[in-house]
Amino acid sequence: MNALSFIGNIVIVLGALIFATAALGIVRFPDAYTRISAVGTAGGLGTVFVIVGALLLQPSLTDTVKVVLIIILQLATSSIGSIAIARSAYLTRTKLSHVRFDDLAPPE
Amino acid sequence: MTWASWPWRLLSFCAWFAKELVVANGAVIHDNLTPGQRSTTGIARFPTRCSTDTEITLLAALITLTPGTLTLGTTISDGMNNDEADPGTRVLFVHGMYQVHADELRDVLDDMETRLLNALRRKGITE
Repeated sequence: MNALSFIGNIVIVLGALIFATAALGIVRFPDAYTRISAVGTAGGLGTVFVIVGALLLQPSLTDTVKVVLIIILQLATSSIGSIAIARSAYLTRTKLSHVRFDDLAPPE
Repeated sequence: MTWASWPWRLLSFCAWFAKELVVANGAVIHDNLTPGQRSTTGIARFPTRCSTDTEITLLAALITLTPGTLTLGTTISDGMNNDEADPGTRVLFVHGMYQVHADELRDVLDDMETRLLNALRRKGITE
């Protein structure tokens, strides 16, 4: 096992651990919006770590191009998906918890 | 700023955002793994300086990608709602997890917006 595949394995395990914390966050965080943020850690960093780890196990030029494309597409779609879920959560009047300020609330 | 420094600004913005992504992920994961909840959430109205749909879409996506801040929606101001917003200003509604006041959240977003627009526009932000 050379150094590159060693680092690759560590990065993959780190990414899997981030996925585990995101799953934990769905249970622990108080409302829909904070849960979306918790899952965002998996959709952002978690996926990137796992993919980059896989690249380090089998590095090649074409795979590097694919990884860059995957990361860009993954980040773009995960953020737009999060916005859509959060927007529909607000439109169906899902309650926020621990609120300190709300500029969207209708004026009294 | 001149157009010659544009690629450099774009690259340094990518580096800054990657760093920011790791820091924000660390904050959310830390809150997740330590006992208790220290989130102080809220929704802020954020009038942007974005002038095209590309800019506001990118800004909304990058805000959502940073864990702890979440774009809920967008609108175009009619100028009646808020004194500071001219008619036609693109407005974002952002949910923040760790800010106590709406102004605190707006400061964070304003910093990101300034960096993004400076990187995106070939001549930087020109008033």
